[in-house]
Amino acid sequence: MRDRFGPNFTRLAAPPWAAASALALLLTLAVGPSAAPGAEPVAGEYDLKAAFVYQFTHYTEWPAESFEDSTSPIVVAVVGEDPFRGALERAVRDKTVGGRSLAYRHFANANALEPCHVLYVSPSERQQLGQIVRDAQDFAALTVADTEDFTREGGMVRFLTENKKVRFEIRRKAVEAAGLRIKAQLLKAGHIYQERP
Amino acid sequence: MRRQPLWVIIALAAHAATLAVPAGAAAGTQRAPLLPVSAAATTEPVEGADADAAPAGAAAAQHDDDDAFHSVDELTSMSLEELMEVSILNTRVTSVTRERTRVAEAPAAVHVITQDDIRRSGHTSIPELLRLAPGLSIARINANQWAISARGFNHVFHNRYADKLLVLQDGRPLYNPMSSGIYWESQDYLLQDIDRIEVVRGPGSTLWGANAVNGVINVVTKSARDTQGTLAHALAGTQESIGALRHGGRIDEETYYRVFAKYRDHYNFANPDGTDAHDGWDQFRGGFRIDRHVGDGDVFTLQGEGYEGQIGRTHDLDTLDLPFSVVSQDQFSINGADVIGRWTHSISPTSDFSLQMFYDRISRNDPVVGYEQDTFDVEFQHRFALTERQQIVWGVGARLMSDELENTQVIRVRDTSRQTYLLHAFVQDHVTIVPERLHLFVGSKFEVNPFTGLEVQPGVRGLWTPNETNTVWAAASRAVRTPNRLDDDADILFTRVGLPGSLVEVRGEHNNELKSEEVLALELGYRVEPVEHLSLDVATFYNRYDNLIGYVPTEPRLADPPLDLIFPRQARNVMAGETFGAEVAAHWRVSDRWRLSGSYSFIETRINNRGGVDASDATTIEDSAPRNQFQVHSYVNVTRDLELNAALYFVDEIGIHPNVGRGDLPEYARLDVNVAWRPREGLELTIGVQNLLDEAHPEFVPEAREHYSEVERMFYAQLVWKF
Repeated sequence: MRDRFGPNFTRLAAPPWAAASALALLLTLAVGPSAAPGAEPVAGEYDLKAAFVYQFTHYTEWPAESFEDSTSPIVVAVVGEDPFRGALERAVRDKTVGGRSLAYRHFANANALEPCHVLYVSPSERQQLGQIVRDAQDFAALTVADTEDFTREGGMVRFLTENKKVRFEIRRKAVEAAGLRIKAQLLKAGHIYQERP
Repeated sequence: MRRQPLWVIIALAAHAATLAVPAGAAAGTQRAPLLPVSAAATTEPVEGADADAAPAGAAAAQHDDDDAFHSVDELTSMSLEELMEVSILNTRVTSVTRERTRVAEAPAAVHVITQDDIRRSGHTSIPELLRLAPGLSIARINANQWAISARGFNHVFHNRYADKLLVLQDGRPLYNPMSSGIYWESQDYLLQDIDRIEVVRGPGSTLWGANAVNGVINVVTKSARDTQGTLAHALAGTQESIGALRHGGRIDEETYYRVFAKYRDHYNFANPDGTDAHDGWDQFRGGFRIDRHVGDGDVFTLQGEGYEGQIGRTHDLDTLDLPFSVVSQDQFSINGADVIGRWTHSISPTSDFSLQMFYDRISRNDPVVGYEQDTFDVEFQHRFALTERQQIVWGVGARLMSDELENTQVIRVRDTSRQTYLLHAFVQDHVTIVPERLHLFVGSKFEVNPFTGLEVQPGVRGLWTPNETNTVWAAASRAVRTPNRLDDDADILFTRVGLPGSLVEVRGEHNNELKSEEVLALELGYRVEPVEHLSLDVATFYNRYDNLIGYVPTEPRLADPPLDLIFPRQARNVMAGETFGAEVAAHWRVSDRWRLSGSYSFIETRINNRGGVDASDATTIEDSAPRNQFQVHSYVNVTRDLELNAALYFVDEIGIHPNVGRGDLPEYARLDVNVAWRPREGLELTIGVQNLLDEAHPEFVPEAREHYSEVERMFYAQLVWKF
């Protein structure tokens, strides 16, 4: 029985390997770059959400008094622990929207909050949500978060996931209360938060 | 112990060469423009069950699809409409906590084989696909049989298949209650319609019950909504050929369906001496699935399939005359069917319930263990938020089984027909101690079975996420493997020995007083994303087993002619033992076009017998799973429509039962390579080779009776056409 596994039992075969790799190379060369449609587009969750936040700046109008002058930048900020890991900063870097450049800022927590134009509220700040939402309303920042109860607690835009795709919900009442205007195109793309009577 | 370093070196060099080819080719095509997303976003949508809001990020443990992976810079150049079509790359699983959890946040050793992994692997069957999961032992016995286990115990022993793993397909258990094993040759699906395969190593018993001792595997098929249109699949290879057709459509606004048919024909492998092993098989399978989505809250699913096939089997047949054992080549038929109905109702984002029923029928004309079995099962599950910090999942279920066994020369039972039942309930409390940071999962399964009565299987799991890139989890669980129909009732002919003037039979005898085999499992795991695009997943375990079943020789007795003497061996709970080990998996997105993933696993098994049992049984278990295994996968997008995929597997030596042969079955390395080309949308052509490194090698030697053959190299060409 043992001789079934004799020393010659391993049969290495180099030629098929060489043939296969040559074939692979040949195919690669033969086909070359092509423009046929690829497969489903995919991205990292927070890379994608960062791009959404960047898009939001195109569809939002801030009250004039929220800018120092006509050249001051639109400040996009994160409060709390940053789930974007640099993606949001990269998304807004060297961009201009409506003649204004975009700037990125990070606030360690609710107490360190300063005026800005778009504020992503990290889940780590859940306890201070009420305070953050009130402060942001005062300086007319568009508030954005992932947390489930965000819009219910007075937040403006909440990300959700449907079929692995990013969707968002907008609470119009909160947006209007801050003196912001969101363009119809964005409202149409998102879900509208239903106010409870 | 024999080592073959040359083998491994050549394998590694070959793999390096694989990488060298596409890396150069890819560099030349870097300037190929990325397509507008609106044009690219035409493939199938993904599974529709996760309408839940995403919690804060943690380390992305896995990337499930990289066909058109977009960086932040690319994303910011897209319009809002285009962004809405981009899918998130992360995988969620339900097997661990019965809530949809991200892999990175699951408090268990979990791995997900995604549709993309399936497509790029070149594997053609469910058991072969499981090679992709770290830490599993996959050993192909012959063309139609596999020995598969998690964390050791991969022995096939007197018709006992690896019996400590629970495998489900869409919530329906695939393991066979007769022997607790799985007939892998009976499990198949249109592989393109599988959404994912969740593989959990370690006990899943707290939620899934008996048999989930060392692991749970859940094959999840796509919703009919996600398989619209027609798909044709044809594969021609040197070892097998497959043809399949699926059509998906819409009945009305809310209702989607698909139907499929598949035929596969596998040729004979060869015996170690080069002769034909007579283990070829074929199978026809057809099925359907209907999903009705009513509003946001209700999903009704009805699915079913049926199969029929012929299996070639070579085995030893005992005779009453010289030479007392002959090699018999048989062909037998198997068939089966199942229907599953499921209603899922969502009450709120934190609350839902589901009601599932299934009926399953299997029939095997196996010359060794022939039987028919009908199973009816109903299960209810409810999830709700008890308080703001406590999420409860609970469920109850019942299963009725009716079987009819055929007494064969090998297996003899007292009751050729039995009706048995299983009642079960589980509850789990998911406590959020610190939001986003610290979670505790406490739960237990309660099961009443006809053999040992009530079994309680509690478990506790903790998950700590100190920051966005680090996750630590720990778990302690008790799990059992309840005795099965054969343990309880069957006498098994082990062997016959002709001595001068007398004929002696060694016979394994049933024991209806067996207790459950049990394990206490301790686990500790860590996931980290040390730098962007690299993630590591480490799982360690220490398991203590008790009441393991072994055969104890009892008093020889005289037998009816023509036998003279019987040497009985009774199944008893006589062994105990421990296993410990570690599994490390890594995923690295080297660039937008090149992804690497790999894993290494180690296990040490120590079994001791507490008295009387043949020591070789303990050794067989100890040496049944490879001590060291590693695998590396390389996925390269050479151009937008050309992929080069390669996988290298190394499997350490395993033991051979002393009854069968001496020594060890040597380690082997396996290299699979394929090239996939999409000349136009919806059409994919693949050519590939499995086992490039050698002509054939054995992977497993079963203990007695069943024959094994060598797994051969296969060249294949495949076409998948969606229209």
